[in-house]
Parts: sequence; structure tokens; C-alpha cells
Amino acid sequence: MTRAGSAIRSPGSHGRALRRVGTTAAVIALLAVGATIVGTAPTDDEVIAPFENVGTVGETVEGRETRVLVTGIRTTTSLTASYAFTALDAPTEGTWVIVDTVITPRVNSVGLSNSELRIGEYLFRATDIQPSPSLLLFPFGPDLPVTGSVIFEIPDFALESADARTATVVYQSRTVSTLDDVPIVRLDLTTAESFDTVELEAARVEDH
Amino acid sequence: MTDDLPAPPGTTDHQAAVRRRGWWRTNLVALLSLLVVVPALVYVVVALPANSRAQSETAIDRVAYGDSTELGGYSWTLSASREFPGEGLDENDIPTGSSLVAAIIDVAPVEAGSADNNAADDDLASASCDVTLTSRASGDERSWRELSNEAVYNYRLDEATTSYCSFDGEAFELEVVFLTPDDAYGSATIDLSLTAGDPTIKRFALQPAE
Repeated sequence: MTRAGSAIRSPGSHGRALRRVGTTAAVIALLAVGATIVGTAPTDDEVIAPFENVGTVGETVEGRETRVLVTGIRTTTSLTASYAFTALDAPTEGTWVIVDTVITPRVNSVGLSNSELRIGEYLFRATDIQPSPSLLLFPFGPDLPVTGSVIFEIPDFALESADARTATVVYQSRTVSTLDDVPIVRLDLTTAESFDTVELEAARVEDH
Repeated sequence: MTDDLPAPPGTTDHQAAVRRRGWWRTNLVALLSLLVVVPALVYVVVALPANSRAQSETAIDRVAYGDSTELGGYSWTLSASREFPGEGLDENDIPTGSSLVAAIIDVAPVEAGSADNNAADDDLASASCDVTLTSRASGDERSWRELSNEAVYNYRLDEATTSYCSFDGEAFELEVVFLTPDDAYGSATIDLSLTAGDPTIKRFALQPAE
């Protein structure tokens, strides 16, 4: 008795098997594509992150609200200012970093009170210790280049860290510049000129 | 007369009439619903947002140079304005590329008693005014706020004027000073509004440059 029946497949069974394999492969491929998309897609924070326009000292960097030109970096342990009604005399246990900047608002008056200095994983907010008029709260409007300083108080270990060579200053008026473009200037803090005392000057519009 | 009679049963005309009547009968509810839903949709999607936007937009009144307008029970007249071009910080204390723009606005109660009544109103008594200078010289609208340190630019306010609004029922002259780029004056206006009460913005044209 032959057992030919076991060798005979019903018509179309080969095609069904192929379709099953194809379907499985397609599902696996779709899953792989989905996983890749999910894995490489930006996070929620990245989706609404500001657009960073990065430049260097001496280079004009544009954001939506301002044009920024960093002209120099100074460090000191003692800040003074005598142009205002109340004089300023501010020593620090750490270091004052003074970033001399020319800022040109583009549309309206802009205060840069939320500017930051980033050194590695550390982030320092600009100090509002400077008397008005300063770059943080200045009354000047669009297309008037204002010369002044943005000042940060930082601990010595931050200045002595390797990341001090690649620090950045973010010029922004809001705490979170969601989906806005902000000017960022890269600084090498180890090249900053160091002074015993720095006398601050009022922010003002220069001849231009 | 035979035209008014219905087609005899079984004829082609009769079948067509039945089909037409059947379609209307089948879709009558849907059609009536559409008559209600479509206008409602247009109202919700178009009219409501447009109405809401129109209500939230602040009215702007344009005032020609020398004309008077009324706001908060006071009459406002831009009586003079002038541009002082920057010749350099070493020359006239105004930076080159910039201009100092000054304007005087005469403010007076509209009629005896009305301003007193307004002053008695808590809102206006504690109100001030917000003044900006806006230029459209480059096609974009740019605005500058009033200077608080005009003396730095060697500008001195007139002794008879004041740089802020005070609504105590008396007339006063408001003198406002701005630092602007040197191309702003020709197409600039002064926008003035109260910090409380009537939200209308009065847009004053400046005195034509000589």
C-alpha cells in the first residue's frame, strides 16, 4: 500500500505557505521600522527645544529677538559701579565673569534677564546685581546697538574645570525659549583677562 | 387640463414620479438636518471665532497732527514733536545713527466736572498712560519705549511739562522722549493708551519734519 497521500498536498497549499511567510516578514519589517522611528524620533523636550544659533567671540550671532556680538571676557573677584544713584561694591567668594557684549534688539525692547552661562553640566543665570541701565533691563528699542556687560557669578571649580574651555552664553529674555531661535556664543573662559577689580559702566547706545 | 392629471399607473412617467417622490421621502429628514446643521457649523467654525477675535482686538483711533481726541474724559492733542538727529556722543550726546524724538501732548478735562468725576473713579484715579513710538520705515513695525533718562542725551524736559500722566482733574502737558534709529521719524506715530479703563489706543501722527 502506497502512502502517496502523505506526499500529496492540496492545490494552493504552497501559495498559502508563501503568503504566511510573506505576511510574517511584512509584520516583522513593520515592527522594525516602527521601533526605528520611535528610537530615533526626538523626545518631547527636543521637539519644542529652541533653535540654537551658535557663534564665537567677535562674531555677530542672530536670534529672532536680538543680534549679539561678544567683544571680550573678563574675570574678577570684585565688581564696582559708580554711575548709578547707589554705588555698587560687590566682592565674591567665587569669580565674576563679565561678558562684554553689544546687543541690538530686532523688533522691540528686550531684557536679557534669563541669559545663562553653561559650563559642562552646570548652568549659571546672569546676575541682576548691576545697576540700571544694564543689558538685562534696558529701555532701548530695535536697531539701536547697546554696549554693556552680562555678568555671571560662578564658583572657582567651574572656572578651573576642563569644560571652561567650551563654555557657552545663551542670550534669552525668557526662562524657556520654546521653539524660538536664540543666539549662543561659545567662550574659552581660560583666555579671559583677569582683574583685581572691574568698574562697570552703564549700558548705552554707542555711535554707529 | 390633462397636463395636471397624474400619469396613469404602469406608465413610465408614473414610475418616474414614484421614484422622485420616493427619493425625497427617503432623504427628507437628512435634508432637513442639513438645513440646520450646515448653518450651525458655519456659525461655530467661522462666526464665533471671528466675533471673539473682533471683541479681543483693541480699537485703534488715528489722530491727525494737531487734532484733538477724547479718552477717559480728557481731551488729548499732540501739539508739537521734533527729531534731534544724533551728531555723535562727543558732539551733542546723541549717538550717530540715532535720533532723539520728543513730543508734547496737551491733556485737559473735556468739561468742568467730568474729569473730577473720572478722577473719583478708582480705576482712572490710579491709572497712568502707556506711550510708545512706532515706526514702519523698513516695512516692519518697530516700537520704542519712552526714555526715563533723557538727561543722558542732553535733553531737558520743559519745566511746565510732565513725563507721566496724572488724572487729578487738572490739565497737564505730557512730554515724551524716545531714542530711535535715524530713519524712524518720517513714518512714526505715537500710540497712547490708559493703563485702566477704556482700552482704546490713540495713534497720533507726528508733526511733519521741516
